[in-house]
Amino acid sequence: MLDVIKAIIEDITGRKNITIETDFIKDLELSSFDIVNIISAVEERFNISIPTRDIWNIHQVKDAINYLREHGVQE
Amino acid sequence: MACRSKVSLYLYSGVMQEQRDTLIIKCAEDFQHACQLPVRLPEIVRKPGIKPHFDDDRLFFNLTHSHDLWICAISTEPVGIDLELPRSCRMELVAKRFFHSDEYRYLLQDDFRSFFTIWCAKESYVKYLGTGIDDEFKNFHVTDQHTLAKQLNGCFLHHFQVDDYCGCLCTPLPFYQLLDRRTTYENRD
Repeated sequence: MLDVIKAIIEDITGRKNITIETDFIKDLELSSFDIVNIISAVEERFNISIPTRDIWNIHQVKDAINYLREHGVQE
Repeated sequence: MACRSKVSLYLYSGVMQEQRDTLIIKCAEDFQHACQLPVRLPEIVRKPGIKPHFDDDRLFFNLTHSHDLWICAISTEPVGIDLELPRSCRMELVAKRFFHSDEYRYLLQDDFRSFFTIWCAKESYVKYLGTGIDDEFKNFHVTDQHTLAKQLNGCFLHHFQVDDYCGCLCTPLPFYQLLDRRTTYENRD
């Protein structure tokens, strides 16, 4: 799951060296649009719908992974 | 002559994150001078879940940045602003997920050329409200069937362009001024 999410972030932002600790705002300085773009791709890839209010609780890559696992997404 | 209601956009480039608050205050000071308002340097109040604001309820600000450009809007009225550099992305996927059906239909007719124009208008509106992007983001539209809306719930949606960037300013005021400070800002270091 980590590799898939890393690939999505790298594809959308062009940023490399993404780790499980990477913070979307503090480390990558992503805009709201970048984050929305990433979430849309994650939703499509893992066939899940993330309520918009939950998006802003996902700060780091590990938050995204935890969210997906908690909502039944398999590795 | 002192102005009663006004909004000014201060455009800069190369602003570092740590310089941000200093520059916001500098913009506020400039605005107060230009409007012949009593000059009092405001403090920026940041609290979780609340839109950042001045400790002076007669003065408002909002920020946006994209890549190298940075705009600070200062106004006598609440204000929201967004700036984006149009770029390749999965527009149809994002539009289906986050845009109102009226906006999506507009983009289908428009071959998605106005995708970032619509995004900027929507984000400037929620930044004006102070709500951010929440579940209501999909429930309002900045299109009016076959045209881009110029107003929304009593606010003007001022679309603008800077170089290759597109932006939108949301304000109750019908006019604004854009002040290009890219060549005059020399205190970055």
